[in-house]
Amino acid sequence: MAEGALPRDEWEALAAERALGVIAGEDLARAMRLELSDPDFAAEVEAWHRRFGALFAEVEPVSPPEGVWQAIATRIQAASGGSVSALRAVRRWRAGAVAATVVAACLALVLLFRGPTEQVPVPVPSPTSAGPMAVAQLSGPEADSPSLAARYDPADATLHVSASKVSPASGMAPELWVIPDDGVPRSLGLIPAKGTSQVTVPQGDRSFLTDGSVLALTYEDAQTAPHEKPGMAPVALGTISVL
Amino acid sequence: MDRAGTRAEADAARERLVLALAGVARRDHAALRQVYDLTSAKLFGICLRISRDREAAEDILQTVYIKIWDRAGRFDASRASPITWLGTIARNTAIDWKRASGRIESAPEEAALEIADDRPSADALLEQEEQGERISECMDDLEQRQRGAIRSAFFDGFTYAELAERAKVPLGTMKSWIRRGLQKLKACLDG
Repeated sequence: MAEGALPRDEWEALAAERALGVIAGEDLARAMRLELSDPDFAAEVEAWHRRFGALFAEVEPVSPPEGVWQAIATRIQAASGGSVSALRAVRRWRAGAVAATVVAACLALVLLFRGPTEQVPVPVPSPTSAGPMAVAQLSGPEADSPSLAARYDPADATLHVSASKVSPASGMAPELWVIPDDGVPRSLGLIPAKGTSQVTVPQGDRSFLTDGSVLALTYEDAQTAPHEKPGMAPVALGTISVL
Repeated sequence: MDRAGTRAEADAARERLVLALAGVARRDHAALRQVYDLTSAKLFGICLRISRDREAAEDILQTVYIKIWDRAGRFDASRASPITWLGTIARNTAIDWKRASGRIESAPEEAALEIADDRPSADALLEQEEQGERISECMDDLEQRQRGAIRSAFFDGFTYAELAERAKVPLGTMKSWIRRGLQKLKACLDG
């Protein structure tokens, strides 16, 4: 949904508040959306981080216990040397050209293992909309995998998403991708982890929201979204059907 | 140590850190260890300050360095000071933890004022930057309640709602203290 333009002073205040971290709820969501959609806003938030940065001089350093480094080293070692195929999957998914294979494989898994998992109700299509509506149910292989219901209304280029069981790690946020025939994921931006939300689909991506395209969800660094490529294998997937 | 000497040493320390971060961007494990050795005490201090929970701060610190490992390629030394960049990651990660853990401290009500009065004590080499002196001066120019609220938001990671509750003022009042304070701060820093 198009965001009404903020008056300049509100816009400036919001950037400062975002960097200071005092806002929550709808204000925070709005700031996060602006960070993604308005490069000047993102730059202003960055500028505030720089302004505040010097305050870190006042924080008293405290040596962490030895075990912390061990834990970090182990986690990084596991991620880069681990035999877990997930990492290979991520690399291939990053490679883009072969991502379709991985997506297809994950999708097969999803279809195989999708038990009687809880289905999120698809938001009800509004009767006034023009053009064919597209819907997708996204789910993952685990019982506690995220599940999403998405409905795309071409009349206003808005994707309505209901999310449940979406639980990104700290600092991460759910990012939605569309993967058309060519297998290359395109970011549709971050979505809130809970409840229903509306995503305005960028002009260039609208044609991808067609029958057979795949919607995928990953958890990505909240600060740097939208990303050119996903940084992990999808946690939930679903194909789009046109009604 | 004279001022010029300190400055030169600060520049050298920053240079070492920038080089180490460049190594991390190339996925060099030894470089990450170097970044850790140079910064973990500072970043742990930030995590502790915001989380006020030692065990949680250790977990947060792990996450911080995993993020640094993943994001070092995006650090641009021409745009940001390395310690500001790293400190921001630590602060945001700790704030995320705090919000996610839903913890709202029941600190004594005078906590906000007590925080307003605490003054810089650490003087590590890495942070000796020109803006550092500026922001302290500019903060000093603010009204005490504006300064106290901004400091508490920055160092303790409180939201407007939490700050208002702690200071026992309406939310709108807290918002206007902080907004006016930030406006003045920007004018002072950019002026």
